[in-house]
Amino acid sequence: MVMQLKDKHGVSTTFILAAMVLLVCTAGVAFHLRQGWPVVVAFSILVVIKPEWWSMLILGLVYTIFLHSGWPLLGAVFFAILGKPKRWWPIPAGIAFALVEVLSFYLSERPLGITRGYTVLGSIATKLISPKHLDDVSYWSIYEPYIDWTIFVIIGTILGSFLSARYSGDFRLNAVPELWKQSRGKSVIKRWLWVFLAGILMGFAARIGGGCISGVLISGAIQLAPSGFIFMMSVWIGGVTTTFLFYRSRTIVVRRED
Amino acid sequence: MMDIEFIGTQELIKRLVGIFDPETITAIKGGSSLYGGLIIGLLFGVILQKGRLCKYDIVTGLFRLQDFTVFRLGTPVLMVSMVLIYLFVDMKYIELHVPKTVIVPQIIGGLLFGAAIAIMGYCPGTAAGAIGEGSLDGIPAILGMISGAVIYAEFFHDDLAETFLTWGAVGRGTFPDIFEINHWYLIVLFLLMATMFLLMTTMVDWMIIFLRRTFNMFQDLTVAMEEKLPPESGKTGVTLKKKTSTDDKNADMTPYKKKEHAAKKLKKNLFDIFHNPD
Repeated sequence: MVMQLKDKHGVSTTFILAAMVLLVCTAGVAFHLRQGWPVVVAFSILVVIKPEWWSMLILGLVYTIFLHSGWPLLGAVFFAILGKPKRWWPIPAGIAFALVEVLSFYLSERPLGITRGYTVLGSIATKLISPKHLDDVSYWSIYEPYIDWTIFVIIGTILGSFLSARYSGDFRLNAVPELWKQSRGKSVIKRWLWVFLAGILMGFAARIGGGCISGVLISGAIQLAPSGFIFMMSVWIGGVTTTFLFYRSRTIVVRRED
Repeated sequence: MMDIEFIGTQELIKRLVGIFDPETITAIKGGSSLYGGLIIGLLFGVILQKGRLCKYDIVTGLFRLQDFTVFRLGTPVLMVSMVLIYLFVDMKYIELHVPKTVIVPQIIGGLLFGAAIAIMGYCPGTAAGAIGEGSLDGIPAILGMISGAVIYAEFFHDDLAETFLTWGAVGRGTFPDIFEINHWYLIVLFLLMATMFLLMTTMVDWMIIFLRRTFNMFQDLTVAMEEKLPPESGKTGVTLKKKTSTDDKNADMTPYKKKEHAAKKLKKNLFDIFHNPD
């Protein structure tokens, strides 16, 4: 009965009561620890449960108060307006991508690259399993086992994608993509095994080529380095050839437009 | 080879503390700052998700030559960021960080990388984005990439380091350095070529979307016509009972869901017509 009392934003009284209880509890914990982060975590959880424009603005305000900086609130305002559609038109999205790339050059003084993070994760795994073995492998002297910038780029990518998908209502759990079902069957184990094997190949190829799509292709091409253009051409040739060999007669599949 | 000993919790915590460097969280600016990485990663993830690059359908659609969203998004990225970066370099706000160019390994690595993308449907960045979006097959992708890097470091790096990995080494040069001309000439040339390419791919992509929508419309039309077909005559006693039961089952579904259900069935049939296994 309580569940049915909803206002125009679809907020039930039960949710408000549960949120109040959670916030009071975390405020108690925060007072006990003399630190503010439990309240921030509680607000983030509530926003993930109820992703609306007003809750996004509240989250931005909370982060602004917590970090003593106006940027989270500004970002939340922009995200509340621009993040609602499920997709952006490719050219504006590309321009936004370019601005992020330039921001990476300005703020972090390095080009945007991802694969280095996976390599460092590999060296961290080696260190956690056996620290003595780390010195035997000469390659790990280039990639030292410390949590670095690229690992946080990976974490940030997961969080940002989750936030964006949840806010626009695009988030749904699936183990096998739709097009794979149509061209290679519905089996989850087969798909995951193929993905794992392709992942090994990808990690290996990225180490030979010295980077990934964002690290060599985009960051190389925008600085007019030959590596980016060479990598672009060979990725395109390799990808198309493998697609036609791998999917054979089911390469062209009519997908439902959404 | 590797000697794995079983360790206690305290030893594990000691090793976990050992991988964290406290100096990385002192500032926002700088190449090792974790806060900077988190900010860049958040923006990157939002853009990847909104540009639909985290979807298997879109990325392999590029290699299946039936969806050019990646080209339509990637060309403006190269154009805008190339202009902005060289502008800021000329104004001395930022510096170039050019990746190394080694021709032969990059061709081989690119071919293998393209093969992996064609099978997997994610690049390293979008695999992380796919997990955030709910596509759980990003998890084996990330585990595979980590193990691929470990395999390369353990077994291949020492053997390969002096062979083909050094063939065609150019160093950290760029095209303006090699040809010894001003970079703006090359940028203008690239912009012209990229604009032509963008117009071309956009036209092709719109044509493909139009064809796909037409195909879907005909599917819907056939479904609607199938629903309006008169019921079979005869055997009224038996079919009536069956029909009421199916009607009850369909009544629970919303009209949209019903349509989708019928369309899925029809699509399967059409699919089987177009793709004979032999």
